[in-house]
Amino acid sequence: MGESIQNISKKEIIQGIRDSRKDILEPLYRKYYPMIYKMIIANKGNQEDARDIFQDAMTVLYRKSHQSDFQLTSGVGTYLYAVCQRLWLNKLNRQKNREQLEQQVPDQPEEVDLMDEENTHQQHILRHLLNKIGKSCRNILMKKYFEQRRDKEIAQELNLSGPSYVKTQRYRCLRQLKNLYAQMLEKG
Amino acid sequence: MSLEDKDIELIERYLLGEATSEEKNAVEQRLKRDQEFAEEVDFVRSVILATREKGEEIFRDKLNELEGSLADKLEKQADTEMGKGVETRKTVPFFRRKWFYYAATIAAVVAIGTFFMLQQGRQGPRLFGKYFTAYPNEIITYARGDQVPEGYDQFTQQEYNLIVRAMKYYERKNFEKARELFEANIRKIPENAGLMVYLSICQMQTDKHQAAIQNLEYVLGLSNPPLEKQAQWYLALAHLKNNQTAKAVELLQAIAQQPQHPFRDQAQKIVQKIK
Repeated sequence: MGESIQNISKKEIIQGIRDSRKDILEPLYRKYYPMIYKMIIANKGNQEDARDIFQDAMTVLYRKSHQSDFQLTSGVGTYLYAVCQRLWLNKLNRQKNREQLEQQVPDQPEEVDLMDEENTHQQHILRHLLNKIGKSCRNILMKKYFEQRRDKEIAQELNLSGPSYVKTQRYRCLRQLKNLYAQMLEKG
Repeated sequence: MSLEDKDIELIERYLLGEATSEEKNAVEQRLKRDQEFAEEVDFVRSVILATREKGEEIFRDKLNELEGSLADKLEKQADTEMGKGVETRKTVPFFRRKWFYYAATIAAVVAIGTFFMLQQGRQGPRLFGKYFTAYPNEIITYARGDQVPEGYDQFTQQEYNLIVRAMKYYERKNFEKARELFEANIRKIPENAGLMVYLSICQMQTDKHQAAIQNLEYVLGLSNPPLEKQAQWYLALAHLKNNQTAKAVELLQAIAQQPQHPFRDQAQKIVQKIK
């Protein structure tokens, strides 16, 4: 087992989540999953619900970790617990079975926001097409648009000749993606 | 893309929140009067959101790995702490171990049987084992807010939620549970063709090869089905596993002749080995 999560700073945890580092994710999982499991089991859920909710909450945190203005005012555990409660309450609510948990949910930390976003059809197809373009194109687009790295950093991380080359390649990749998208629409 | 690179650069800066207020105003003014520019903004926005989804998919894969190695143990500890004890758990270690022995015995028998089959020159199942991997989920996005997305109107909200759950089982490699849920919720209609490919993969993983063959043949009988090339590949593998080598080779040769086919190289290798 790696370092205990209590010895790692909040900033480093968020950075580690952002980079999907196993040495951060594993202690987080060990420390906080049991707490969430107990909360779900005690509130009419089962093992699968607990696993789903914890994974969804971690994904919310992962998404947040990519926002440059995201600051965690509470502790990581408090945040995760609050997100899990909210997600589980939403689910119970949908099942018209919320009475038991509702009274227990305290005020949420301000930054708890589940970020519901509409997935457009175009976006769905593009996600699929990201698997079809070459690995180097995918990496360049992911680094720029998802990780929001600067072109200079991308050049260094992917061992490319320089920022202008990164930019040229990225526009080429966008064109490729657009052509594939047009072809897919033609095929219906 | 007839817009110039500098236009794309401006769009990127605008969408990534890096534009100055002057640039932002310029973009917003242009959006009102330039249709091509507006479409490009929409396209790049969708690419950005798609990369985010892709990133989350990779992140979830890592969480699935952790879940596979840690969740059972942590849940057991938590049950003990909650005073539930092992008797209320669905899975009891003793039986699990007993089943493990049964499974190991069956595996050993199968292995010995396979060995003798191979001695007789029946290499289909061996090649199947070497080349079969479950295809990644490319069609179900975990619905935030749990709305039934476009393209899945054939499902009620409740059915769609079960499909999402089945796909989560699939991604966690729990093919038995995924198959049960898929089978219970996927009707054999053209709208479900993509999902039927995943159902077939679950069936192959749980040794229901004949059912998988029937489903994949149904998908391939449709006009332009989604995941058509994947369906061809998995149908060939299902035939291999069933020792229907001639049918498998016929399909694999067809795949090997398509330059753009994602499984072309693997198909060529299998055909060479069989020959």
